[in-house]
Formats: sequence, structure tokens, C-alpha cells
Amino acid sequence: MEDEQIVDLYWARSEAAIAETEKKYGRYCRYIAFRILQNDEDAKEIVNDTYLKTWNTIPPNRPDQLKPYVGTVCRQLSLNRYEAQTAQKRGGEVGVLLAELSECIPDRSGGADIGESVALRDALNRFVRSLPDKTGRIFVRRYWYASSISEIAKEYAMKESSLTVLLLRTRRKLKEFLSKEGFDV
Amino acid sequence: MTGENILRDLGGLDADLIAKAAPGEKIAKKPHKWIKWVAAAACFALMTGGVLILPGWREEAPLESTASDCSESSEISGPTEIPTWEEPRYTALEIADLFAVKDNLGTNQYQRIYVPDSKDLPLVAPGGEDYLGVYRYAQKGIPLDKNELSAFLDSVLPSLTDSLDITLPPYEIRERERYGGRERVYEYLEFGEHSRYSLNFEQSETHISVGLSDVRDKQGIVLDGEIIQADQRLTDEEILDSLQSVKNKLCRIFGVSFTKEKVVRRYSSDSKHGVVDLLVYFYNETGHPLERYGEILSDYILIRFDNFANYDGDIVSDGVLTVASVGYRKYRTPLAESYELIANAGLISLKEAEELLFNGYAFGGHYCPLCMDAQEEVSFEGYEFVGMEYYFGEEDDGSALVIPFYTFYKEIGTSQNGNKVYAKTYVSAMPLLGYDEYLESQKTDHRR
Repeated sequence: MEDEQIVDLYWARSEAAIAETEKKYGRYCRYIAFRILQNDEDAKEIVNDTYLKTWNTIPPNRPDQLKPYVGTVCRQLSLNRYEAQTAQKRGGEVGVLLAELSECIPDRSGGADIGESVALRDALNRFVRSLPDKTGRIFVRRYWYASSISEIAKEYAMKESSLTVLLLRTRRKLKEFLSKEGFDV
Repeated sequence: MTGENILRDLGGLDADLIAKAAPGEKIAKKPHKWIKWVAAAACFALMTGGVLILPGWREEAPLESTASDCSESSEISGPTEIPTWEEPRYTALEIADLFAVKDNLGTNQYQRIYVPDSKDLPLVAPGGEDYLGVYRYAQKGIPLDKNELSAFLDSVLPSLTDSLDITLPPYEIRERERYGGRERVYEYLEFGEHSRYSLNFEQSETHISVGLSDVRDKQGIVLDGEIIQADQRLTDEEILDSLQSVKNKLCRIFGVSFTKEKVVRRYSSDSKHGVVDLLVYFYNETGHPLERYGEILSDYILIRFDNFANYDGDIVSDGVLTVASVGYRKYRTPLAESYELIANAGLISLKEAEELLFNGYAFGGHYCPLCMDAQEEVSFEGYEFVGMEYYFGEEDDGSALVIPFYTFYKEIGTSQNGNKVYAKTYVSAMPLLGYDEYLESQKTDHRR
């Protein structure tokens, strides 16, 4: 079933929308949740929560692409769960990602400024779009999907060492980019 | 430090960036072999002063090829430039990339199908063809046209609201920005006493659609005093007969005439009641070969009866269903012409497909490169049913490669609501290369 038809089902308040979403994107969501939480049971719960939140947000939303929509919902919920579980310590793949990114993205723990947040998100989008296609995909794969180095390297037919260097260089570019944009990094 | 802010900021990446970086998405689009073939043929045609035409399926010139003995030969038509594929054109990994990993559509693992009885399995028996068409789906859109949408709404909404005996509140059509390469406008309204009904309509670059739902009170949709309902205990034919009056009203409202109709029932594993939903389609045949496999390629009216609890107080029924929504979709560019015949592929025989199946060379084993759930192994030895199905392998740009598969069904148990459970798996009807490599990749990728 096409995304448009599934979204139509949500708008018609048909529960078949959830069944179709699960059929088409269930594994995709489980992948995202599992990469962040590293736990099967937690991942399954988050995926179910993802369907519920999607149900509650369409309408009023009407996403043209359902895949990134449910993926984003799932990722947010997974990060919420991760935060709740690891309030005292950092670990797993997310901990590694945070360590990698902490040097190049401003820490806004002192208080969320909506304007700055919007500006940062806009800048991050522009940065990823400025990258060569393959590099951009790898960057998103690593830092949005939390995919492991070994997994990405295999999928992109690269040596892990080469991939690590590529990501390091990309993070440096990001730091430089954000600095030029006026962010305090 | 609340470092998750960093990851949340990255969470605001645009949808297209997220989508194209998803696991299994191709890194760089390699041209399909058929594209190479077409390119080579085009060069040859140019060099020889000939003309290469890749017609739509409607072209009427006879096909001169080995496909002449194909059962489709009277339907697939066009000049001789449509190639016939006698040899494998794809590897199993390429097909897996299109159909399994990329879209999570279910060919990584066998699917579970729930039906009350084997006769309810939605399968099309293989027709014994030696060749079947391979299609490229790419629906072209046209720019949005406010006048067209306004004219459509002016022609539909007055008669619809008259039949509902309800006045539609004022509305405005909200514009949306271009997104994901497409543009659309839409509106959603709730109206009637206690917001009884909802109405949504939209215009995209490819179609106009309008949908009416019984949103809150679950009293059913009443057209000209007649409630839209279906008794799921009846046969499909009896249900369609019972809905003829409703069909006539809807056709009048939408200003269309449809000669074909069908019922689709969907079941689950846990509902104590019958169908999860029951769909009734009114449409026309276009003559496209894919229609034999259940595709609806014309404009259509759809009545959907829901049979589950959305909210407290919803009635779930074993018998008559009244909770319905009604939709009408009108394509702005002909959908059937979006399926371009790119080749007639020589098929493997059912016996050859069985051999592949029994050796595990199927798309839908119990190994999965992406998911965390391991399925119980199912032996398809002694399978009960076999069908033929087209599968849509979507590409990044919204186009799709549409190719045929054998589908095999094996009963594996009974669900808690008494429905039979069938495992369903796919075997490519086209010969493929590299099955061993594909299988090994599945094993090593699982739970990586």
C-alpha cells in the first residue's frame, strides 16, 4: 500500500492504518529503536508507542513520506526511553555517538532557546546537504540511525578504518561549519 | 551535560535526508540491466537510423518475439523493441535489495496470513505462462490546478451533502509547500451534529480524492435515508448485491460509472470477531495485464467497513457492519499508463520454483537482515497452495520495478481467534543469479 493510502486511512480514523504501518515500516522502526536502546523488549514497546503516537498525530499532520515520519517519532521516543534509563550513566551506541558529537555540536544544556534550536537544525540540514551524497548518507546513518561503524562499513563496502576517518573529517567539517554560522562550539 | 540535545537537534533533519540514508537504501543508483539494454538499443537505433519506441502497454502493434506463445501476448503489445528476457537479468541480492531490505515489506521473513478458511486466501493461481511482463511504474504528475479542484468539489460536495442531509460548514483549502518532490493541497472537516462526519479531500499532482467517514457517533453513514452497511456473513456476491443501491447513489454523487466491483476481507490473529475490515471497491477495468493480479488501475470508489474498537463504546460485530468510510479517487494522469512494459521475462516452471523453495532459495525465510525477531523455521515441503503475484520494488524516486513471483502457502497453526495461520513466502518467477551469495548474506547479516 502506498504511503498516501496509509495516511488516508489515518485520516479516516481507520485502525487498518496501524496494521499497514506495521506491515510496511515495523521492522524499520524496530531497527531504529534497537540501535538506540540495544534491547529487544524495549524496542518492541517503543515501536508500539510509535504507532500510538502516529495515530494521535495524523491528523492533523499529513506527512507525504510516512517512513521518515514514523522513523522520527520512533527515534524521539527511543531517545526519551534512553534518557530515562541512563540518567546516571552513558553507555551503548548512543553514548559513543554523544562522545563523538560533543566536540562539534553546541551543548545547549543550559536551557533550550527555541530560536537557537531552530537555527541549529536549519544549519545541520544545510550542512548535510552540502556534503557529497555518500558522505551525507553515512553521516545521517551514523548519527541519526545510530548504526554501528561495522554495519555502515559493510553496507558501503568500506574498511572500518576508512569509515572512521571519514566520519572524523566530517565532524571536523561540521565543527568548522557551525563555527562559521556563529554557533559557539 | 544533557548530551541527548545533540541527538535531538539531529532529529530535526529533513525527511528526505532521513529516508535516503535508511538501512538498505542504495548508496548510488546503479542503472538496472534493462536500462543498460535500453541505452544500448537506443544507441543502436540511432546508429542505424531506426527509431526506438518504448510504448505504453496500449500500443496496438503486435509483438514479434518469442513471447508470441505467452498467454499475455494478446495484451502486451507494441513494436518489437520490447525485449524478451530468456536469461537471468538480476542477482538474488539485487532483488533482495529492491524487495526486502529496502522497504521492509516482508520478503525478509515469511509472512503470516490469517484467514478463517483456506478459500479466503487472497491468491491468484499461476496461469502456466512461459512469459510474463516486467513493468516499470512511474506515475507522472501534473501541476496543481485550483480551478480543477474547485470544479471537482463544486460538482461533488453539493450532491454529497444533500444525500447526507447535512450542510457543509465554510472551508478553505490550505496550500502546502512542495515536499518530497510532490505538491498537494488538502482540507479536513468535521461536520454534522456532534461532528458526526468527517470529510477530507485533496489534490495532488497525480490525483484528486475525497473521503467521508463516520467519525464519532458510529451511527453509520446514511445516504438519502439509507444506511451503508454490509453483513460479513454473506458471500462477496451477496454483499455486492446488497450494496447496489448505495453504489448507484455514490456513482451519481461522484459523477462516474463503474462496471467492476469486488470485496476484500482482512483478518487478524486476535480479534474475536470476523473481519478486521471489509473493503468494497467499485472501479473499471483498463485491460492492463496487471489487473489479473488484483491491481485496480482505474479511478475507484471504496467503501471501507471497520470492525475494531477505536474508542470506548465502539461496536465490534460478527455480523452486520455499519461503521464505514467512503472514498473516491480520481487520477489526474492515467494510472494504468504509469506501468510501462519493459520486458517479457521468461519464467521458471512451477517445478523449478519448488526446487528453489525446498532448497531455501526463497524471499521470506526465517533469516532477516534487519529485524530483531527471529521466526520459527517453517518447512515449505508439502506446501498447501501456490499463487502468482507481482511485487513492487520501490526506488528512491518513487518509481518501482514490478516483477512476478510465485507465492507458496503452508498452514502452520491456528491463532487464538480460531483463524488458520499460513506462512507465505516468495520465489522469483524470473530466473536469478547468485542465490547462494544471497542466502549467506542473510545468515551473516542477521542480528548484526
